[in-house]
Amino acid sequence: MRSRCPPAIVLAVNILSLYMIYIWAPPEKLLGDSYRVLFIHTPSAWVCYLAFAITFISSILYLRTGNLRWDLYAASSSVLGILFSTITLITGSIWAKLAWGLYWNWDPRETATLILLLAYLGYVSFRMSISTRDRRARVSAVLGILLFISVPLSYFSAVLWVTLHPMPLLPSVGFRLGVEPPILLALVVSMLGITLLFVWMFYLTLRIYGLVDGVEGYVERR
Amino acid sequence: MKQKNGLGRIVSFLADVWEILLKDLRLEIRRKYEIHSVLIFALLSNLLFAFAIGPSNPNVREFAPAVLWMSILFISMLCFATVFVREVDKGTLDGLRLAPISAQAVLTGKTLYTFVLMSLGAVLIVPSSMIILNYTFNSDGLLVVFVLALGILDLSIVGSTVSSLTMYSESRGLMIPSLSLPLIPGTLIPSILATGKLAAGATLDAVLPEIQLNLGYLLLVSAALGITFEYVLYD
Repeated sequence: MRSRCPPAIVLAVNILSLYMIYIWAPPEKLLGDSYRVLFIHTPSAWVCYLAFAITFISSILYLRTGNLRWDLYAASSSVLGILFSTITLITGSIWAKLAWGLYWNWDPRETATLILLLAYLGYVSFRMSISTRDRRARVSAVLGILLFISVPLSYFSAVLWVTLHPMPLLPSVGFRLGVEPPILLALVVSMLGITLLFVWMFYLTLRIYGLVDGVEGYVERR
Repeated sequence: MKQKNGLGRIVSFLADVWEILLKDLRLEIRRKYEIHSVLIFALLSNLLFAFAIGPSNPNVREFAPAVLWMSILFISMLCFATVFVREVDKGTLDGLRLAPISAQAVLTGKTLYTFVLMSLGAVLIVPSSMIILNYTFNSDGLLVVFVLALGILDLSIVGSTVSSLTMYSESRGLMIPSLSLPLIPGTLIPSILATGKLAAGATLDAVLPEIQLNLGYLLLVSAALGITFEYVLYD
């Protein structure tokens, strides 16, 4: 099976994105150059939500069909979700230090994102603690559905509680960003670049998990 | 076999839940050591938190709701550890699977059992923390009981579910806190906030947002489990 997202396209879009982030986009009026970390932070947050949504949907599809392919989808996307939520937290902390003076402010959004990361780390270690493939897939699917409760909690934490974090686009701001067009364009390209990077990495992770699953299946049959 | 109508099904479901609850409570009363452990641990955790904050700390009353819920959380970990794992250890899980009882009735019965066990701990924790940390609830007593019971019920359903999932794991003891702690803040934070408000004399209107959040959480988790729990119980 060939990759549906050729690495050359991923590389080209990401080089363009890096150029737009660090050279093309002008410094922000109030924040200077420090705001550029948000071009990595925001797309990573979006991709981590996307990855956990894939885990959720794949878990439902596994329970409906019993096809182990969906379990591989759920496992692969959860690992990438962990990676991108870690990037979100690190870049968010860098931004917090620059803007608010501390790396960690116990802001509801950053705390909810940390809980999200811990929840899915628990999911991955839970998977590792069950050796039978079918049983692991079935029970992990239920957990994958339950853990998804943390995703809307993380997203809406900025609306539900008093927060330092900027309001999310929906439902509170309603897509009125109030930023200069070049900055918005750089953000859109960065979103596209990191999403494509996720798709490519998802394909690779899926292949690795498929190989591991093949070996496990062979061992179980013996 | 005669098909049951809607009301008949509900009555039958409640009877099944009652049977599961009674079975676990009977076992608990026979063994006793688990209730003892929960009660002793409840008192100890209260004392430990008081030592950690420092009983003479002038802000100790501000920490009281968090200390109360942390103690409840600590005893919940003890309760979660046995709910389903006991069935595996005693070899009675297959009996539970073969019984003419729905998976949802099993989960509800186990959740209520956890709720009863944790409530027993809370009955000891709440007055002891009020004495140790020198605070009182200046609100309607029934409202305080309702807020505490709702929070404990939320913890119970999460804990019973996690316990049912971890019975298949090869590292059950480690998995229970790893899986339940990230799921709990959704109910724990509103419970702490509501308890703090009630200690300060708040009315129903003031704690309504937290009650709504906890009820919403309960409904959400119950709905997800209503659909998926069969897959956990049956191989």
